[in-house]
Amino acid sequence: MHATTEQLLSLRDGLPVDAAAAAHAARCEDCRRRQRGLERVRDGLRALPELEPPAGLWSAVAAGVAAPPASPAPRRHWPLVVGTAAGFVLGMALILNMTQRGAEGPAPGTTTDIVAATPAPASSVNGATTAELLMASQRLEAALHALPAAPQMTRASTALTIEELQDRIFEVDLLLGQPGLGQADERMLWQQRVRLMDTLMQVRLAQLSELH
Amino acid sequence: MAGFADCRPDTVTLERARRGDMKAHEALYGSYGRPVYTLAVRILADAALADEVLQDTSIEVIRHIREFRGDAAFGGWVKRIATNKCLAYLRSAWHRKSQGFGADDESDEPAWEPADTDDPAAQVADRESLEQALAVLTPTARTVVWLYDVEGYSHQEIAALMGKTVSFSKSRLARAHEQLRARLGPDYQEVSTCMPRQNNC
Repeated sequence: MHATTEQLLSLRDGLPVDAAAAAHAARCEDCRRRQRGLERVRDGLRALPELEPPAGLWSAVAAGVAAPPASPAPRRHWPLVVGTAAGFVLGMALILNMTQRGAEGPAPGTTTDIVAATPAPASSVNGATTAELLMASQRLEAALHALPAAPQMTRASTALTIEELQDRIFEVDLLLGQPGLGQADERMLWQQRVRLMDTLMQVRLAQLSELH
Repeated sequence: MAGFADCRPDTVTLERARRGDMKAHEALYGSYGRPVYTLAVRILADAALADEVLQDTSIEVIRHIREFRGDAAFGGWVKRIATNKCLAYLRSAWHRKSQGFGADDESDEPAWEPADTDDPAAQVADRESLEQALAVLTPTARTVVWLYDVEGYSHQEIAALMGKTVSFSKSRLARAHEQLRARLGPDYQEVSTCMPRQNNC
């Protein structure tokens, strides 16, 4: 019997092989040629060139590290139409908040305004009712809107984190807009939204502190 | 191919990375990015998934760099992380369903055509033909042959990584080489017809 491929691979790699098969392979020209063929394939595979990863992948990595660990879902790139629709939802919320703020809040962009508008910490989100969550979300929205514009020089990782958080908020907004949403699901989504906006507020404040 | 063996960052860069210096991490990425991406493309045969593997591996390296002991090879540590990421993708439900990863049944192997020895192009043993032959192997065969022949994993290590036996690893390696031989033709292998048969030498 000729040696099997498995036996020839073992001979190629110096692994123990049945004595009879090894003796046969040593004197059989066909088996020796097959073994050389296995060596050539291995050498050919090892000689294949390394492949270059896409440019810009490191930026995505840095953003992934900066993202909050509590949100492990992979980043998704929404189609333009979805992003526009979600942006409309967020835009409407911002307009409403701007209208309300003029009557009751301190001057926009001041520290007093930011502190006043920042809701309770995220730890209180778990026990909040949907109405409380909605109110917290609105206050955060207003507080975020009142922050000074992003500095022209911003770390790329910070900018990407902000973008990712905004994407996720858009995603939640879209889900909230779905018809037939149950009460439990709605509350869970508002919890998510408040947590995301809370994180976004912290990142935006950190971004502003990079100026100093 | 340089590969993981060349991922040997200096101790200063490693120490800076352990302290969370992202510039140091970027430098580390510069050394392991290509081997990780290459490993992922070869095993998964899918550039988009390879992107994900490289991202996931890099994030794990950054988050766990403090746990890396300096006395071990950095490249080997990264290679292990990347390999596990690739296997996780192959084990995922959707991938198993579409590709048959880990199937024990030989009948799950897709049909393959022997190389047409009358066609001179089929006999040209070049890089592209080898890449193509590798890419059309089943995910299991591709994984085993790449991990064993290129990355230097032993059958015991492959068996442990894949949750299989050593015999499984050996038989799949042999099966992969038989498929490669059929694809590449005699010019690459020198002999295309020497199959196990009665000894008439």
